[in-house]
Amino acid sequence: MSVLSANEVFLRYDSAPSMFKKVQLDDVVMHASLRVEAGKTLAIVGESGSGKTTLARSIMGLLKPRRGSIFFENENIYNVSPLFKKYIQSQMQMVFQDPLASLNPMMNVREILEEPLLTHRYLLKESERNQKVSDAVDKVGLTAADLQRYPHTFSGGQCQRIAIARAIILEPKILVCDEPVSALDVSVQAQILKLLLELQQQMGMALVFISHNLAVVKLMAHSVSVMYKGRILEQGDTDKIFSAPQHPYTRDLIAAVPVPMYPVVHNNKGRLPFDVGLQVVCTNGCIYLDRCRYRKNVCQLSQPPLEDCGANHKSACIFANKLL
Amino acid sequence: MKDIPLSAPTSASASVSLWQLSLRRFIKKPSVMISIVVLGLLVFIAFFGVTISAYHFDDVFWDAITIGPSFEKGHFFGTDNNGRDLFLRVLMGARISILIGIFASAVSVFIGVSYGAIAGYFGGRVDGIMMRIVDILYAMPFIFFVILLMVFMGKSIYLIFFALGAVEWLTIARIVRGQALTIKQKDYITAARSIGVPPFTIIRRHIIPNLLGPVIVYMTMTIPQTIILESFLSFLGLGVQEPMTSLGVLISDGSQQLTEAPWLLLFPAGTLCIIVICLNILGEGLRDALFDQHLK
Amino acid sequence: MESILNIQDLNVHFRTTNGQIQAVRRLNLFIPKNKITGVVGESGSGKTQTFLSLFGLSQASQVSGKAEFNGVDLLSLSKSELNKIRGRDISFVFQDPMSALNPYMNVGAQILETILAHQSLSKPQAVHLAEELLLSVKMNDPRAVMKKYPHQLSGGQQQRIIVAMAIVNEPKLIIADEPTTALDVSIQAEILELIQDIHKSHSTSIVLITHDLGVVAQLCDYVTVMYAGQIVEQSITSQFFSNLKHPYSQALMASVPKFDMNQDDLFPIPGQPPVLDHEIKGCPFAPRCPHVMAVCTVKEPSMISVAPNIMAACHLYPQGAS
Repeated sequence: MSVLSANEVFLRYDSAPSMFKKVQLDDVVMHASLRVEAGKTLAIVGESGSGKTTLARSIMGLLKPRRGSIFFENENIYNVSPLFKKYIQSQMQMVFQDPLASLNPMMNVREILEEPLLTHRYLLKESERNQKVSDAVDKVGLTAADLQRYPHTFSGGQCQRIAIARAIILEPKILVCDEPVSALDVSVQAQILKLLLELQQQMGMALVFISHNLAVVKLMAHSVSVMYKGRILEQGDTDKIFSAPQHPYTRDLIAAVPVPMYPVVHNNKGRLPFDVGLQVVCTNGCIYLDRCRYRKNVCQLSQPPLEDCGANHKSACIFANKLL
Repeated sequence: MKDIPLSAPTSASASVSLWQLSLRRFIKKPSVMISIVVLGLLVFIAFFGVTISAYHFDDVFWDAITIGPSFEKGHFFGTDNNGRDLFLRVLMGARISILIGIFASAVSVFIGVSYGAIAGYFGGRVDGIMMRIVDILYAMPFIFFVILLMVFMGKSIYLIFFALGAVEWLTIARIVRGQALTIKQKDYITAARSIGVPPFTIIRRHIIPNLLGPVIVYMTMTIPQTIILESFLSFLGLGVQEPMTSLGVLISDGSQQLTEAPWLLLFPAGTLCIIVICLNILGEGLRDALFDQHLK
Repeated sequence: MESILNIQDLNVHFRTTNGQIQAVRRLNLFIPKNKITGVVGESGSGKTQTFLSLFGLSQASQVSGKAEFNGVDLLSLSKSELNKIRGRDISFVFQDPMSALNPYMNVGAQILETILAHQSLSKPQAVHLAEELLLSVKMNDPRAVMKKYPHQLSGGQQQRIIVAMAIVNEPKLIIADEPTTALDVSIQAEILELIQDIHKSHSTSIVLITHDLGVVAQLCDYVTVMYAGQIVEQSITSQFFSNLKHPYSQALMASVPKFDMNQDDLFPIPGQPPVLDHEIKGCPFAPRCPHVMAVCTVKEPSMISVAPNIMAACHLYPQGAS
């Protein structure tokens, strides 16, 4: 069963809101469709500017799509009663990239953790609230003594634990993690990944895991959506995406990851061609056209839609299943 | 995850908030400590000296009209041409000036912070309209505004609080709005929004505490400014009225008798200088303490 | 083997309101000539400060030790002498290309400025050289590129401009501090390849500071692993990954997600890196080390040769008379 689904979402940022007009920028996300299964992990992979964070914000109810809809358990989250919206908010929580920036520097850990409870569980007695706070702190591996401390006295990894504790305190069904480890030290990243996996197992929540790190994604996710310039180019089960990618971009991306191994096994499939700075202004063609090694003339005609190329596997390339 | 020992906090800094850290840096400075002591002493004498004194600040000493400072006669700062003791009058004036400074600043901070935070957080059209109103008020000449108020409301000391506060809050609102615009981009605001915290709670709980730093610094700078403004109004005859007095009134009176009785100008002016300098040192010290976070 | 840079007993201290931070502690490091040396470590391990402090670019309150570069001790030089060496014999490539370029100057002007600062060339000669440099960093159409402003270029292109500016004066040593960390994976590959090309064609010695073991494997001849301001392992890359000696290197390797790994293979390193505001007794990794012994918390291990071409600072290996 899917707890969350996005259908043909189309998002666009309005820049510099002014009193008299709204300036429109480039399209940020186009035709994005996703399904998050209960208790499973969906990863959204992409480089900077791919629109993955924008899509995540939209899923969280922070950015209304121009077109398309986002459903939480069959309810359109942008079209529900305020009461139900509040319920949805309590069921979807987020963890951010920069842990220190995601914690209010003026609040101590207890106040930070109490905030979701005060917002959604305001009927709780103080003793029950304290119990929930200490449970959450316990789950993420901090101690009760840490409750009185302020964020700036913690290291990055510990701050991320606090942020995770805040996110899980309401026992949400969905946890959206936006690059949760990329700002952390290498030796601490694995701690946080393990913690997320453990919590998922304990609490049975679904994860939306946004990352640019393919190795991390392969480890964490059950299914993957690969985004490029605002479009989902490939989507499917993790093992299929990594063992038999059906879009040239996915292939290039996987080949580009430096592997800590010597001698380096260079992937014969080659690596991404140089970004030579000739921005091909092509309004109709495939968005990956200018860097694609498999391009043919036909690719200039139109952007191929995301179509099935196997069971639970979609690709937006007309040569899917025919790539060598 | 229990098996992972997270390193123990470094002893003393365990549960210290950023405010406490700043406060520690603040009082470490000798210049700040001296200012606090001087200002505290001045406030103490101004508020209790007048009360415990045997005489009232507008009692007339018929045997001592316009005499210079003298300890034998008990008039430390001398008397004015009505025979009133200048020491008591300076204390009374300092009391009124400080009160005006603090209250007017408090009023302006309260209005300015609420207004600016709301404009900044909501942004867009709300921000546009709210800030244009501020611009319009800014464009109004201050004296014209005060005279207008006088005409409608009559002269009273509360009016001065109101008039000064009503002018000062405009600048604070602008500062706060700018801060709020920056702070609302921060992840912890997004986090609060995604949790579902209502907008006004976000403003109260997350935005305002994080922009108070610059506001407090600005406030220590506005208190002397309002004291001087009040002096200016009183000088023009629009401020505090006789027999009540303020430093501004005293300076204004004293300046008219500069040649025959210079002490009438020197003592009130000196007191004003001390207050303003102390407050400026405090403001500067606060600014250093609050914004030197990179030296943490 | 000849060295380009030989650091001995380097200490770098910082003064903060919370006391003194010892960013680099008693560090000895040998950077071989005409090779690429990778320096791996987490943030706060002192890997960047080691190199910034040598060339007078750090905010450190105290730098002591010896560092022989090209026959001179860098730490005994005056500021103006250091200035001469910087940019001529040595150049830097930093993490964020956007902040290393002046947004109000076009690319050409910035490259010309670098060229003319150290070489006496006429304007047309300098322009010609700039064009050649841009071609050598794989920027097609250098004339058009030189007219552009930094924000008109992509992150990868910006970083290539930085690399071009770094090789203007044919330096003997390039220090690249996390040159690909701010870039996307696909662009990372092209910058790494570029660095490799430059190394081959100019036989420049390169120090590559990074936290990514994958980058090290791809590019470096030698690896140096730093932890808590000290070097814990030095190795030749061809043996490093198959023969990890120091427990920290082993733990680091086991904690990095890799493609051929499943969730049970991921072993986090427990705890946090130490805060260097006090003297650490014994081995700095001891509190997190799975092989910790009594001696580890008492005595600081010294770097010893543990296998051919591999040195490590760990009590697991008999501490001889080295």
